[in-house]
Amino acid sequence: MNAENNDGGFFAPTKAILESISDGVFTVDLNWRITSFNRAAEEITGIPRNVASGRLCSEVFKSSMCEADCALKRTLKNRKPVINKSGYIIDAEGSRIPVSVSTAVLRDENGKVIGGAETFRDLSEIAALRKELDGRFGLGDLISHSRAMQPIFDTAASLAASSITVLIHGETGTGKELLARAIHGIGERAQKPFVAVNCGALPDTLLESELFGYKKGAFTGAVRDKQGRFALAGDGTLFLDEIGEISPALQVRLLRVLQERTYEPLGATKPETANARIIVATNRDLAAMVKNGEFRQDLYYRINVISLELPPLRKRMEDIPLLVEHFVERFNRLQNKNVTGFTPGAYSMLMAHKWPGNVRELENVVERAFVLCTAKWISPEHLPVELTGYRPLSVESVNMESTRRVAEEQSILGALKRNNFNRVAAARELGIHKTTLYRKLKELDLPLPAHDGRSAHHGQ
Amino acid sequence: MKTVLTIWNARIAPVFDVAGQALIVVSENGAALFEESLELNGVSAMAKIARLAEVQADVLICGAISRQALSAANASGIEVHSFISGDIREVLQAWLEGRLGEIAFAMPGCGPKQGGCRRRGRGRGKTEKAVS
Repeated sequence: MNAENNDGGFFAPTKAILESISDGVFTVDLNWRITSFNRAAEEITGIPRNVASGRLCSEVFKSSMCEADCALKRTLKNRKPVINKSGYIIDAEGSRIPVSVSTAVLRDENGKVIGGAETFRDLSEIAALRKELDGRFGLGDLISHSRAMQPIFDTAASLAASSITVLIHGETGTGKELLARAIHGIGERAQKPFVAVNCGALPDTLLESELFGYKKGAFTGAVRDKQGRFALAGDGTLFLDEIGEISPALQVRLLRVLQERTYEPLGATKPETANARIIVATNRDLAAMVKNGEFRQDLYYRINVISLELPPLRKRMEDIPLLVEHFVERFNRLQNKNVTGFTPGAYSMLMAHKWPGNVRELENVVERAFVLCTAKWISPEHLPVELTGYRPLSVESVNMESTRRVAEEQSILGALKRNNFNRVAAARELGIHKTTLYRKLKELDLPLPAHDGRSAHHGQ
Repeated sequence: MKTVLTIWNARIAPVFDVAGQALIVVSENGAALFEESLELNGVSAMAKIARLAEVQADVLICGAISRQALSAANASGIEVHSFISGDIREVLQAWLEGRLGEIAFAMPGCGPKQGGCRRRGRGRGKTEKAVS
């Protein structure tokens, strides 16, 4: 392709087509310099073609993929196109714009490679439309289909505009920090810092200097001033996780900050103003802690102005497919994989689990499955033993025999679970005789609970 | 003064948020006194900012940067010169000589004629400093 001939650097016959499409298209020479740039590329990047021309594509495109995983580089190395690789570009305002890119090798009329071509699509609108079509509702990175979550999203959205202190309660892994980030992200403080502190992770003395900072010379080793998290949060949001873990002494200091909006860094002689919005979270029952004298009542009332209760995942099981889809999308993007999803067998195991670790546990299960899965579908053998109830087969030894064995195992275990481990009922559901079921259980060496679904004390 | 420049292929890395390497330069009165490299690979943009705060960087010179990372850098008291491009040595020299604002170092589309990009962000809580 001769890049010198026309506006935008394209051949005249193809120019009309390239100029009319909504996908950005550019080409580069073998030195990664832009040789052509269509109208949509100008619009998406905000860079005129005369400015882009001759510049390094990475500095024009400003994409998350350029440095570590450039699709064009891979295409030119392997001589193979890349289709729909996801990433983002950063525009002049510092916004991350989601894009998908496809690449191809560019050859001259003699077949000699002279560079590469890249098309890219702005996915911002598609992402918004998909969200709407899915009927899901969400706030920030929190998504849900569940009715149990709707009031939380509504309340959180209405709280975002105010500076009121919020208490988020929920079991570990339910997404307390995500909710806090979402409240911060949709409010007027969105462009200001969001600073999170896990109060349970630091010893008391360290937590105090971490929160309030210190002045040079405040103690041995304080060789220069250190800003605390209150100062770092500035006019943004300070998120204090595991608030139930802080000591009585620190509770007093925190109460003073909340009441007077001032604090003194260690070694300081005058107070500083705390402007940050405070969001706190805990998985403990603070009211009970107040009754037991473990948590100050005045602080409790000060932070419990508005409280939001995040339900555990077992109470919103209908969200599992949505969350799984979300994590599959994310890990495909992060790990550069192309996993389609979970097989029905694997899904049924996800649905049968109680999820004591909540959404975080689900995320870890999906991530683990991604590491083990080399195929398009994640199946029971990629799930941990807590979900399957049996030791998975080696992933490398997938053949007809192991596939049949896994299928039998999951069918039998599923039927047993659905029938409360009543062997006769499970055999009936599976359409096999109970003696066949007993033989299969022995063959497959499946672990079973002591009770059999008819009597709690009746052994097998 | 401690300045951090994100690097890729001997140039300013195009996107700070995914930059893997940086160069720390300690300077005084417009002369570089000391240099060392800084690993930023494999961590989020926010963790990269935390790393810069940890090494007590005063100034960050980088390519494109997301708003969130810019806010975090400013909140950590780091002065940011973003949407900069060019050979790392030329950029460093221009910075030491107070010429970083020249059009030659603006990323494509970020020059004054194109309306500029959000190129500067001053860290909070720092006193104004003369360009070293």
